[in-house]
Amino acid sequence: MNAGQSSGRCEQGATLEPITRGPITRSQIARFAAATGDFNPIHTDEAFAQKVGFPSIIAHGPLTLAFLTQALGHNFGPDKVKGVTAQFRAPILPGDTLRVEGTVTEVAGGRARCELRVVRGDDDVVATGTGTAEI
Amino acid sequence: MRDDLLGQEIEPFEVTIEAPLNQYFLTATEETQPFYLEGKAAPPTCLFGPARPGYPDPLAIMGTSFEKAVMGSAAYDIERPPRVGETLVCRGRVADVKVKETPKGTMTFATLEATFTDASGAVVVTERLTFIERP
Repeated sequence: MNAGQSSGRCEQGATLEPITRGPITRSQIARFAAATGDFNPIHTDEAFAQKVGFPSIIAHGPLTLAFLTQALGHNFGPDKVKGVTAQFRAPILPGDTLRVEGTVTEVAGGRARCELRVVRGDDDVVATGTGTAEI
Repeated sequence: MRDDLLGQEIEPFEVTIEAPLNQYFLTATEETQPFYLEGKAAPPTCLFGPARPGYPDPLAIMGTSFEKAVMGSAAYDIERPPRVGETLVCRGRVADVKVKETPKGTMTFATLEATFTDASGAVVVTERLTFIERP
């Protein structure tokens, strides 16, 4: 469903319509670095990323946060999104395809609160979060 | 990471949502929502941006470095999406510092809170980024 956006129907327990992003590319990570100025070498330098323990360069956390925000916008309308949080649980690597899912956990005071998760493959949760949107 | 960080403030600085950088951000994040693609507003999380003039290096503020620190979580409270071309004032401070002992050593969690206000002084977005310094 597009909770709230299409019909105004938004109930506790409703499932958000998921969005899919990726496969994440190295050029995409580089573009995000350029857009934000975050050139931390764990995002741009393969040798450095491996030296500090990652299998390769990793995507920026705020790229994942942008995907979570997009999932809220997709379901409620981009101008209705009032808050988003993310906890980054695993590094996101080039080649990863991500699905952003969510569930409405509370509807009160004209707002819906949601639990969100970013899933790699079938069941690898790489980030979790929450969202709030006007309904 | 320094242990005297709590409450430290960042010198206020101006952030302008530049159209070319915003376009880069939209491409990097695979944005599909016409509300943003048509330039009516910029995604709130585009305010994450060390490239923007005046944006401090959060890791330097916290006395740590690329080698040891990663972003653990992020949160945005959104009053409204910023407008493309708009200039906001960013005020930041270290809002929280926690130290946790783990079997591998000491981990420090530091949260940098930044508030972006518009020309009228109204808050547009509040950002909280938590960085984790690994043992």
